[in-house]
Amino acid sequence: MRLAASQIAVLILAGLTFGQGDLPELPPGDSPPPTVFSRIADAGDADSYDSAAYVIVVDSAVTSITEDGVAKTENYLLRKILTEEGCRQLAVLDWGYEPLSSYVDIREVNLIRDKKSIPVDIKTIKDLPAPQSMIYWSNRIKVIQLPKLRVGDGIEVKYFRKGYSYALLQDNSEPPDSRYIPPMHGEYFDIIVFESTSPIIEKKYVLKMPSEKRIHSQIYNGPMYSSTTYSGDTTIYAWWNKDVSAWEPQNYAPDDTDILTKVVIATVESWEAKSRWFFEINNPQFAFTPAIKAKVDEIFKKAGVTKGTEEQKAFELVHWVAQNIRYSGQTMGEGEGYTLHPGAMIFEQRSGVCKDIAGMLITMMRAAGMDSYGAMTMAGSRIEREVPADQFNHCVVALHKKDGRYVMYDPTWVPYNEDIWSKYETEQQFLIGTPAGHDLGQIPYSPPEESPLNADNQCRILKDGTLEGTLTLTSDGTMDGRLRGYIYYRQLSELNNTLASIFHHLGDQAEITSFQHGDIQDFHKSMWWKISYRVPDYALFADNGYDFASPLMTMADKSLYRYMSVDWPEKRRDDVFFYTTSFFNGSESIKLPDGYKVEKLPDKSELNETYASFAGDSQMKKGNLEISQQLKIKRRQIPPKGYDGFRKVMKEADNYAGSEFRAVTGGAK
Amino acid sequence: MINNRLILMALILVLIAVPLNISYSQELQSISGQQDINALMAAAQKTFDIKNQDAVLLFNGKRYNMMPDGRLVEYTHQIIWIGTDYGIEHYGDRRIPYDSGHCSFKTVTVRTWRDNQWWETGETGKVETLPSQLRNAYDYSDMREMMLLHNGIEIPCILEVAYIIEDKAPFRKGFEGIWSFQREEPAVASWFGLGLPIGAKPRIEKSSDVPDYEVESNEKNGLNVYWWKMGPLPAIPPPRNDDYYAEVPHISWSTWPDWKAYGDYIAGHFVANAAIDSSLKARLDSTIADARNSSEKVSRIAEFIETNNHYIDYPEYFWNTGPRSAMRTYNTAYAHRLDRAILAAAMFSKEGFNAYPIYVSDGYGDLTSELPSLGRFAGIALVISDRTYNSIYYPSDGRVVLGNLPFANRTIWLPGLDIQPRYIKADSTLLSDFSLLIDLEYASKDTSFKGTGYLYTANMFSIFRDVAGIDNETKTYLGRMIGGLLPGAKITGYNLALLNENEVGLGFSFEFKKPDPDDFDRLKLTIGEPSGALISLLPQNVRLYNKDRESTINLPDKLKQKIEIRLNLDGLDLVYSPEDIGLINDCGSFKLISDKQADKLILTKEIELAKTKYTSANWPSFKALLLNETGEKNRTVLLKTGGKAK
Repeated sequence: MRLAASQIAVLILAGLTFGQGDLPELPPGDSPPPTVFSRIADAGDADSYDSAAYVIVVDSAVTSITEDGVAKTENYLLRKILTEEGCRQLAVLDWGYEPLSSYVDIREVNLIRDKKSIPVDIKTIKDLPAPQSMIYWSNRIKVIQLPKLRVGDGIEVKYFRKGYSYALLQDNSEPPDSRYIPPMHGEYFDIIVFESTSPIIEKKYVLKMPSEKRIHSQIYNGPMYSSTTYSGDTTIYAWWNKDVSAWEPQNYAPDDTDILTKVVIATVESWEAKSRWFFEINNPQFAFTPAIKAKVDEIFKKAGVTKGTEEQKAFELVHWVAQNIRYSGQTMGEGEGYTLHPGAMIFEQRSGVCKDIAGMLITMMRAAGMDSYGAMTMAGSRIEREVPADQFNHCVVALHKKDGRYVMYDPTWVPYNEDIWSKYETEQQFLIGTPAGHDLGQIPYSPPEESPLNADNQCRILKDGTLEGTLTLTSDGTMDGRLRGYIYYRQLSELNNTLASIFHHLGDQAEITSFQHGDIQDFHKSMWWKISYRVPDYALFADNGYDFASPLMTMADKSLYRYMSVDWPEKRRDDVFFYTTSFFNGSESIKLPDGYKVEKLPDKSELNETYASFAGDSQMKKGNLEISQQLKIKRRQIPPKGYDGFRKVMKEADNYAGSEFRAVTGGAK
Repeated sequence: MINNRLILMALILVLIAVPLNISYSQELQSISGQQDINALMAAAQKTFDIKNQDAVLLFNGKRYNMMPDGRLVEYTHQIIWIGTDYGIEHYGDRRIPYDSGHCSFKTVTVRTWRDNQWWETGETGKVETLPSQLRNAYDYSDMREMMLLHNGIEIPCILEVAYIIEDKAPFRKGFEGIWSFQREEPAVASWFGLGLPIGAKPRIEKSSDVPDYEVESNEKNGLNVYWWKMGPLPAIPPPRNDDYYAEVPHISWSTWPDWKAYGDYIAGHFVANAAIDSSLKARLDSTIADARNSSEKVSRIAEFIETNNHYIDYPEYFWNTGPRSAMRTYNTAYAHRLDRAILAAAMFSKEGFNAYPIYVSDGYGDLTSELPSLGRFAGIALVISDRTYNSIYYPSDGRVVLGNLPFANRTIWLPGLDIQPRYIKADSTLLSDFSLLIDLEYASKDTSFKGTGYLYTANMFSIFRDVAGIDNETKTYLGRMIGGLLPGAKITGYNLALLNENEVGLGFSFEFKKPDPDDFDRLKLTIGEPSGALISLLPQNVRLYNKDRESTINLPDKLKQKIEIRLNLDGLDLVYSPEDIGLINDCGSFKLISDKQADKLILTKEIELAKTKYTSANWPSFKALLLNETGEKNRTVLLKTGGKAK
């Protein structure tokens, strides 16, 4: 049997060298090359890894790139089961793939037990439709059932992948490379993460590149080993890491690729080149039909902007698309995944994924004579600027203005939101596809004042302790969508109960007496609510006075703006990630029963840290208790060095929300 | 149950057949040609306040044909008006499960009526997927979820979907089920059909509000199709109860000749698949090697299954005809409820326990019936017993609950043992009672409160299952109970006074640190809800802040709870105690007495829920009782230290 170079490489990585019996005697202190058995034996047990279910003993990938950019990867994965939970988790192995883009061949699966390698019959592998939700591109998975596993078993898997992005696959034998030439011909990119939720003893990635191809590459979020060498017409790059602890995800954490050790690689020359490619491949998709043009005219007419400005028209179009093209993606076959669906197709389907929704807007804008383009972005995560790899997960729209500026629109993220670009996506980088090519851009920072939740509670405490009042909520930015969500997320018949669920934190006896709200389909006006309520027995009459807490602060803490009541741990490893800055701006006036005043007012509180601030104040004014609280989260991502200050602010806000008030006759001045 | 006014209105509408919405075409027929969509839409507009509906089912049709050769063919046909995004969310993309190993799926139509035309879904909008729960369930991978994605949706619009799921070959020994004529949305027309070989009579049971059938002959297939047709109907009353069928028109059917045949079939699965090999037996033996009694053995086996087997949360009825062997389930390390039950039964039996499958009704009350159908029963469980022990084991999460309380006032069926389901009536001579008596005093020397108490629970409140055991079950339960009543309280001692399945009496002592005084130097004692008390017996969907409630609240029994706290005021000044309240209404009573004596406060709270069913009309009264029970004002005692000491 003749072994390909890449197969030999895998065998070497796996420690399966030939002729070990012939090795000369080793000098003292030296060890023989590891074998799969010695690796499993030496991998330790659950106690060595904080009771992890299993440990990744070796995870290696050797990727060879052809002149056309086709990537062929020989993978070797060796895991050791440490607990019964590991037996459960690894009982069935699966490999996902997209038949239009990639090919996966499981070549060997072995159970390593009692110093024996027991082959698992790979003929039992099933090739199945993959579970799918919202994106229905007919992805598939291959699955295999392993024999009953035991703690201490090793599972060795050798498999081969080929592919780039998307192409057609017609039979089960390994298809020719021509089907896997990437859409950006000859170019290759990858992002390899070297950490996992399981501990890793050794992970290695080898890249074999034709010597005339050049790469950009960089290591992020941690030290790693690397090497570069060459043989004949191939340059060989390698990156590896050893003894990596398991990564435990935390709440409010950014995307794992933002914080875990990774290598980003790309052959494409620059962001500009990528931009040009994206433009060229998608530009034909935006042709509009008479029906689309008629709809555009109808939208303008209905909105009264037929003779309006470009900005006004674009505003109407982005919201029409956002409200009428739902997120549910069908495949268009060849070209799926990187090509935006034709506008006419989406106009008929009225559904698609982000790229198709963006494509619809571009098409409609072009039908209206606007100079619009597709753009790629990375929602909720960072793009590493130094390497022009495909670090994108989302597609948006750029409108080219006459003065040369580009204004960004994202119809996918603004259903039921007043913005044209969601403020959940500020500080996000993007790449516009243009004929001349663009560099990476970035959405500017949005201060918390652009996403305020203004809550004004005008209320009074009656003699019998009943609280009655009116809560007015106004908003902007991200908070606008949140207020609209009280209606569109829930069953219409449940609206009263939805509102009552906000007030029940004041007592289950809370009653909504009336409410009004803004039109959730009107994006020219920010969303608002005016809710009148009463809460019998709210204030406790005791010892000749009324005991009560601030209704607004109670609702803010438990419902309206819950960040302050999150149990933020004292120590935190990763950044805190919120997607958005935000501002809770609360004001409250509580009219007390005649002759009563609050006895002791809580001290004024003011805390201004780098990433968050809080100000709380309470005063008696003409028989009314006036309370104000302003809590700001100033950045959407808070690094560990800023965590202590952030936590201090949240705790202070939470404490202030818990202030108890007591109104007595006379009372404080 | 059904609003007769609605029916009358619909009949009038059908008779006059006046198109009421000019935005829809004059001739708009369903795919079958049997439904006049304009008429249905007109009826919806007249009957329902559609401005306040997310969607309306204009037509909801289901038909099962039992073919002469034993195959089953299921037809589904729905026409839905959509008014909101919530409606789109529920009906825009349909996810339809079917067993591709035994059945074929055929789409008749997926289309959307908008702008006076149908927008048909093409092949890319019919996508076969694997259920996500089965991603790593190799043996169950014949299951599919067919996605039917509607094209052209814009609010408002009308969706029509029709599909057929057909057995490829006969493989069912019997077929039974239940169908509700009401749904989450209001329905204009709701039809259920049962096709049976000519000569066979339908074996059905229906609620009294379902009209008699109409028969349609389908000679081509050798069938008579029996149709039950209803509408218009409101939505299922929210919030939906566990046994919502009790409140809506419904029909059950079965092809099983009787319960015995059905029971023998199910029990047969357990017998046929129960063998375990020596390797599993060895692990089982080591698992229970040092277990001290039956209860501990059962708990360890249940824990062993939890650890070694991943639960597949997917309806097990898809595999009712062919469950796996216990060994296959063990070796593959995953299982749905039925397979897990078989594995567990095999393991329990191997260790000398009686382990029988059991079905327990979703709702309370006598649901016994001649018709062998499990439509109103929860998923399969096991009853485990030996001479001194009995419990129920829930395969879905591995819980083991001691005693018979889970069956009380419910209907149960043990396939293979019971000739038919039977109703287990709780002891009617014993009140469902939760009585807690607390003596509490302030120990100023070590700035803590100390107390003793006596808890008596009976019938539905019996805490037998919580306290019986050989570890720290009693202390653990008491800790939870007293911690719920007086936050921060810890048990310092306890003793059993009475212990049987239906009644438990416990004496105990406890203490807790003096709460921090507030800004006005007062100590606040908030009397909370003890674990296992009345609130814990209410269905989870009882939300006291809801203004209205349409569905009935079902309780296992009439419930009575009394909490009495005798607070010694030595060293304390009483600042506030709740006011006396006495409330009696059509749902029961609530009484609060705050008896302030010279050196003692005796606070007594009593609530009695005098019925087992509370309709929507009862909601305000029911709520009033509960709000008094849970209200902060009635739970608060304010004290100051420094009062007259002993």
